[in-house]
Amino acid sequence: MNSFSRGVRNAFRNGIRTISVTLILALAIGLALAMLVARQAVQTKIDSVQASIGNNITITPAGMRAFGGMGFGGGFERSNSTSDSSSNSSQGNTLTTADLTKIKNVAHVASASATLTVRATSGTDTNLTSPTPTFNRGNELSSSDSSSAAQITGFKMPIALAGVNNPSQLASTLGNIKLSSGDMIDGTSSNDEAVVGDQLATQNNLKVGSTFTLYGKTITVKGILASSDSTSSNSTNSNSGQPRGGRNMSIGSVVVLPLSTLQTLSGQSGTINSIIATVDNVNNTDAAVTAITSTLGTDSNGNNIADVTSDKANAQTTIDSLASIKTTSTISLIACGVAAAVIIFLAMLMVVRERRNEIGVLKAIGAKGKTIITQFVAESLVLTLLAVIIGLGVGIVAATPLTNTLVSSSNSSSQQDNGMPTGGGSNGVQGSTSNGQRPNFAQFANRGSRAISDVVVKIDWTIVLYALGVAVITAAVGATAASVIAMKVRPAEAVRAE
Amino acid sequence: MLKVSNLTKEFKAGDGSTITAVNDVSFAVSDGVFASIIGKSGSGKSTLLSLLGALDRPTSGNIEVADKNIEKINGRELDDYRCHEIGFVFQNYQLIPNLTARENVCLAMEFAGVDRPTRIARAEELLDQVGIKGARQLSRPGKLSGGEQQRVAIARALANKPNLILADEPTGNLDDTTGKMIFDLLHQLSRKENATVVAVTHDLDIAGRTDMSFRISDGKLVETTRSRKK
Repeated sequence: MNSFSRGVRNAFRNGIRTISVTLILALAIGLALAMLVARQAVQTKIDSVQASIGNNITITPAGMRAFGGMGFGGGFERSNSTSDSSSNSSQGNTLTTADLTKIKNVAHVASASATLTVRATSGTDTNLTSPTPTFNRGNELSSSDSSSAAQITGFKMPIALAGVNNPSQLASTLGNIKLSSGDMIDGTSSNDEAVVGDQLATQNNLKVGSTFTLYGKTITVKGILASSDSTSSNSTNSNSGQPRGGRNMSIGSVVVLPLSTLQTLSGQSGTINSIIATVDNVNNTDAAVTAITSTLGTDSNGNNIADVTSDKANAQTTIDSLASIKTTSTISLIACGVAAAVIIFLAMLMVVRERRNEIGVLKAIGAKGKTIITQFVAESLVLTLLAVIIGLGVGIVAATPLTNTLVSSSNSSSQQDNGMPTGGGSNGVQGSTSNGQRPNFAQFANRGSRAISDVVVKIDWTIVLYALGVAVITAAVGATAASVIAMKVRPAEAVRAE
Repeated sequence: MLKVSNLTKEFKAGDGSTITAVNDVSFAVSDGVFASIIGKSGSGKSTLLSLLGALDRPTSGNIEVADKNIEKINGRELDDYRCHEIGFVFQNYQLIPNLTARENVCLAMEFAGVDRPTRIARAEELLDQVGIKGARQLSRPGKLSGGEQQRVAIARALANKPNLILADEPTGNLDDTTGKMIFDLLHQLSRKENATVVAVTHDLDIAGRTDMSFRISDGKLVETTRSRKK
């Protein structure tokens, strides 16, 4: 038997102490591991958000109030006036086709597309009826299975209309959209045609080639948008920060028309309420934002005509929140690591104090310093390895709930900071900012698109090996520190024992 | 030959005063002699023994064992000195509780670098000689009587064939009969191994049976008695 195997055997000399130290140490190691996993999950999310930052800039009218929330659940009502100026005065600043042209001419802007969103009232503006909304768990508005949710009676959701001059640009706010049948509309045309969400189509028995009435005009269905494909797309692209809540309802119930067609039908000729400009290089984003803001100018009160926000700026909000979670998990990781080191050090110190006499005897019969240190380090390693085995279980069990708790608390506070609705569901029906203003479409669309709630917790061998390595080093350092104290025990202690 | 010259050991007391535990002690013990140190409790016997075994450093004076001045050795040499030249027998046996009797005897040889088969054979031989035979050699100290434990301790002390065996009240925790048996055993084996023995005892009867005896009082050597001619 050598000093190492003697140390291994010593680890089991006192069963109660071995169990106690192992369990406490396991808890600290488990929590440290959980924090390590949380930290890595958040870092992965930060990396993916940073990688997904596009070179788009969203321009919306400043102080825009008419939107009910995220996606296409809101929009302007149809104007009864044919005058753009009267519309502007009643609704605050708006953008126009002229603004779109100006933006296209701004340096570094490669392209720009425009969107007009309008809410149409069922029975009045259109013969379409919206899919019946229901309240799901968490008060989210959804059109899902009525058997598991309470039906709302006597309430008709407005039909969300989107006029676009570049349908592919819808992907920047709605995610990866797909047609389940038919073709996409030509956004640059003035044709009386539309693509409709599949839920709206089902609700109204629409197929490709079917017609419906909008503002007195007959519109032909050219294609059906697939909300289910979008769902899978969202899940697949969860790392890109795309939201799930509310999106399916929007896609499933939206009507997309050529921009010019919707402008004419809704009596808002030349009006635009969202422009997305694509910059030639992401490094030119900030310069382009400044230039666009300057180009659009200010109103009579000196306020900017439009809110100009870049993907980069929006992503920064998410990254800041994630960085805060990462900092919390890092501090907790260090605290748990220090706690583990202190536990093993104190446990070994207790052992050394208890065995002072024995150490004295070992020295008296010729044990060298390294023999005694090896013995205590081995004992400490055994206790730590036992704790690591249990701690791994604790860490694996605790990692996901701990990460979710950290993310949800940060997400909640982040939403409150940003004016995101925290109790009104993901459709943002009741959302308002802390200063009482309703957040505009771009704020919801872009902040929502960077949701941090879908941080994926993954425990891989690298983390486990890293934790094991750190635990072993901690054990060795803790035991060596205690052994240094043991080395100070004079061999005369053995004689003085009586 | 063990030669002690003007050995002094002082301690600082809690109140700052100096306590002289061993005061200018000088004596010599020839090879193979069984010597005893007697004295009242607190007279400095155990401190003197610690100094002889290099478990503690003297304040002044010299100790020579086999012509080696142990005051001049340090570190690893000191470990080697304690391992190879000295064998200790303690009053409370001081066996490692979670090791068997044989493992306890092997321990001293392991520190001396003896290979495993040799140390097991030597341990079994020594344990046989002290009367711990068969399965008892694989018993842990807790399963052995006080006398048996002290026998194991004697076997451990003899394991590395030391020149000097230091015994601190080796019969102090034993009844008279067992104590005398242990003393005789120690005497007999040390003679067989040709080792010098210095034993601290308060038992005058036992002291009277040693080759020479030193009486310590207040740290000073006050009397040297040669009861047997060596």
